[in-house]
Amino acid sequence: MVINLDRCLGCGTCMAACAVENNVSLTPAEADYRRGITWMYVTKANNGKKFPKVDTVRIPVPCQQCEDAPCYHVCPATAVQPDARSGIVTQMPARCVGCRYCMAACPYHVRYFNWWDVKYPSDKALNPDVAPRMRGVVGKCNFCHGRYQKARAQARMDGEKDPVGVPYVTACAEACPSDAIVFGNLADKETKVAKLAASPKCFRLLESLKTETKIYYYSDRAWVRQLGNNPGFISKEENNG
Amino acid sequence: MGITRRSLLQLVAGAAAGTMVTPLPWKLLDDVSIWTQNWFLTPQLIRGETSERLTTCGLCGGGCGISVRMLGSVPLSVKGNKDQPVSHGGTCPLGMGSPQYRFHPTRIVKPIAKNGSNGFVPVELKEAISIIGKQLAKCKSEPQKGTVAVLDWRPGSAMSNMYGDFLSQLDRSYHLVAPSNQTTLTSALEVTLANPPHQVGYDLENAKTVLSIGAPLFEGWNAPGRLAGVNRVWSGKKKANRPYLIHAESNHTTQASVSDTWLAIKPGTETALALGIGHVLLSENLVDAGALAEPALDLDEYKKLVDQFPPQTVAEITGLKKKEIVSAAKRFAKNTPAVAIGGGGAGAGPLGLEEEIAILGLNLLVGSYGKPGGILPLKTLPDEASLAAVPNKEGKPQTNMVHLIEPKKAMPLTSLEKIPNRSIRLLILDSAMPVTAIPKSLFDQKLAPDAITVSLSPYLAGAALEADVVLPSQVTYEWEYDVPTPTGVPMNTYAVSAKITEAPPGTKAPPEFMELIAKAGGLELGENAFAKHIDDRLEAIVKSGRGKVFDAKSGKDKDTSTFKTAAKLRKTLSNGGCWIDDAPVAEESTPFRLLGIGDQGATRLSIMGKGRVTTLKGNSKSHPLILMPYGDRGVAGESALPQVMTKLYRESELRQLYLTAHISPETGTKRRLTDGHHALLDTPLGTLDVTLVHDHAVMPEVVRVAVGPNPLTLGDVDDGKFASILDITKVTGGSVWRLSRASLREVHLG
Repeated sequence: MVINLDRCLGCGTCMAACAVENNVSLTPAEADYRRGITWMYVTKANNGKKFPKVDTVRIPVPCQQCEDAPCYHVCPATAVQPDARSGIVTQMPARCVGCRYCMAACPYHVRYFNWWDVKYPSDKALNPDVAPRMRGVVGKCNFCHGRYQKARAQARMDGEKDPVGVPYVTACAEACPSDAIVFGNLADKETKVAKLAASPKCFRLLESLKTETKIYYYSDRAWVRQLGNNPGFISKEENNG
Repeated sequence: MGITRRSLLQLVAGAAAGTMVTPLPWKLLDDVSIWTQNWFLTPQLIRGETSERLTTCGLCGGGCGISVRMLGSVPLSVKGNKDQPVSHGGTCPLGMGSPQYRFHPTRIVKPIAKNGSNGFVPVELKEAISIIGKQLAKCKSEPQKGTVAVLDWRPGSAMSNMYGDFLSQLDRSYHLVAPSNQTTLTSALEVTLANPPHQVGYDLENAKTVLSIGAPLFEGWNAPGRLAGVNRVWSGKKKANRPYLIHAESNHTTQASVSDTWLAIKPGTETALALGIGHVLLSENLVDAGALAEPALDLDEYKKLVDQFPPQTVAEITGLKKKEIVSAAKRFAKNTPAVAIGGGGAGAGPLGLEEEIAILGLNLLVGSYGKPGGILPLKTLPDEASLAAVPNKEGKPQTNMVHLIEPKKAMPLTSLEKIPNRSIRLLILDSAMPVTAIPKSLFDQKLAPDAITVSLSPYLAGAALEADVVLPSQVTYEWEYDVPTPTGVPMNTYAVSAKITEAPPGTKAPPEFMELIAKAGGLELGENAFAKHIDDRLEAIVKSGRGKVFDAKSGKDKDTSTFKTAAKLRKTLSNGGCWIDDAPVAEESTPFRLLGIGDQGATRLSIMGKGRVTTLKGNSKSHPLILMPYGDRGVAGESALPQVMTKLYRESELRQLYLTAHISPETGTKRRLTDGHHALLDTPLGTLDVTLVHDHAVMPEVVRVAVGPNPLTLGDVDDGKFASILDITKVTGGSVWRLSRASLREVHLG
């Protein structure tokens, strides 16, 4: 996935779309950013300068789908299963025992514990393609795995024997009104997402940890790219300017 | 040999150890896990075939084309229709959560009425209508004590026409609209242009320079979905082909951050900036003064006025650098088509009339009025009157249409602030919109002492809390209604938000309630008046032959002439289609007055040019700060919001938004206001307890407080009333509440 931070308006449409698509539970009034459940959340950052030299950016943060996922290494219940073929780090609530080791291990804070029994505006208006979770398990973005499975099922019906790289779109990418979120097959160099990810103006979060995430962020602004802790991505001109 | 305690313990321990290496305990653990995944506290999904229903979102009047995923007759989720030419696939988070509106905790399905100190109590519909009918009778018999008014959130719609039909039968009544960007701009057009249009649109898709003064284009301004779609269209172009965005605003907002140039003007200095740019345009011959001499009836007076606002003076007033003003003016003049847009956001409210006149003047100076890439005057939507003026192919008038309601006395729309105080005895509030909010003081002061307020609202939230009687209206998707041209769109459009699901028993569509109210008051609306208004409009569109129709099912446009009947057109529109008028014809230059009509134009602009803050009442020593309310993510959120909005406004915010006062760290240091501490925010109108947040994006000496949402509107609670920052903001000039004098003092709760 490539997220263009210069296009992102911080409107939150992706957050709402993700929560609706994945039957993310509502939380009681006391739940804040620590105990809320936001599989996709949009945070803000600034360049640290004083007014009026301040500049701001809004950063959508889903699960980073690490190639070398710390959560996978620590889960005692094998509830975390990176799929080597699709690259998606899947989360299986049925196996989760709620120890929250994965939450401690995740450097991006993109895993969410269901502290309370699930609650929805209406139990009759849930997405039938995504199983609701129960209290006491961890959930996270899984690149709309339900949509991926549907796309694979359709591909099988169309005659493919073992479809992997099937085209589909995540709810957040579909919803984004600015087209700031681009989703696709990074392994296929001809795809739009792969071409965008190859840009020198792309960066990943906390790249020095070598988690090899699959979420690339794009920005024309050097200070934004520095947020990813990636000084190597600033050109000489920008460094001297 | 007997069994000893030791041997028994050895057996048990051995059995336990042995069991652990069998699959049994793990299977049991697995089974318990699966069982608890499916126990009664976890909802069971309802399975079934899903379908997609194309329609138009009607939540805010922005007219976004959408596709709703349905499970039977239950809407599940929404996505934008990228083919729809008005919204370009843009939607907003409210639209995403719109299927949840039906289940909001504050939803009411039975009429309720205030009962003294007991709050709201349920009443039978008959009783509720009787209360309203009696008040209506009083208004009719004693008009001098106060009359009937409707506060209409959606002027131009069929519902608005129905309100007009209702009010026009009374000797005295008001058809009101709340102050908004639209009303202030309309007033500016009326005093500036010799032939003011009824509505204008901004041709942003073709502009090369966009100067937004206050207007947060990408933060809920006008039609949010459309503007987000415009952002997509712009972003898809190569940088050299994208329009240059100049945004003038006091605080570093999202709009400021995505603009190419941000002009950090001091609060209330929009007029000065506009006049300063006007000065540069004329003094540096960036516009053709000779060509302007004919249409600009007061060019000499305007020159005299802007001579008082050279760049150096404007720099001192606005806090900008002189070169910033000159550079903005030069780009505006040379990188054309250029358009200047004024306006405020959802919580801040509109700019003042003087600001809008000064900003409109810039468009007139560079010739962007009536031209592609600029401000385009729109024709009225086709109706009987417009068809009467245009003969059909045989040269005969087109007015002999069946099913037209006899035209009643025309009801002009009046902005709320323009009517006398204490002149309303029965106020009917149209369905509360989730996006906007206005200070309650605006309509409180218009109510007579014995006034009754009726709210046609699905929720007991927002303005409905102020009502005496609340009639449970149906929500979007539960009734079919029209969506006329959204504000700011550069061509007329007409769409329909379809009924796609059933409403709870006891609720009614607002037109049904109006029929009951009219009947109770001895007034006549005609059978199926609401449906007829829509049918009449569609009939007029078909007969006019104007424009084209976007057919959402095929994704293609069809000429209007291919629709032979209104019924066929309605079917297409009810399935996500949209009628789009012909492009406005470029206007020959129309005469205009840059200072507005009247002797006082120059004086008023000169006064406001010194800064609106100088006109604010109050003591700058006791209230040294400027309070600027705003709508976070473009939403004022005073009425109900889909509960999924808690993800945006509570679960992802590092600091809770409700009653949080954002100040710059410099202000915090100077005035000993500590980040994270409680403080009392004081204005001449009252005091609120707030939490302080240090925010680099806020201008020093400014306090920014979001208007909403609050726990009630988010559905976190389902009763109670929550304070709003608008409770203590001052309204000046009848329609401006974006600035108030304020002070902050930190308090320590003990």
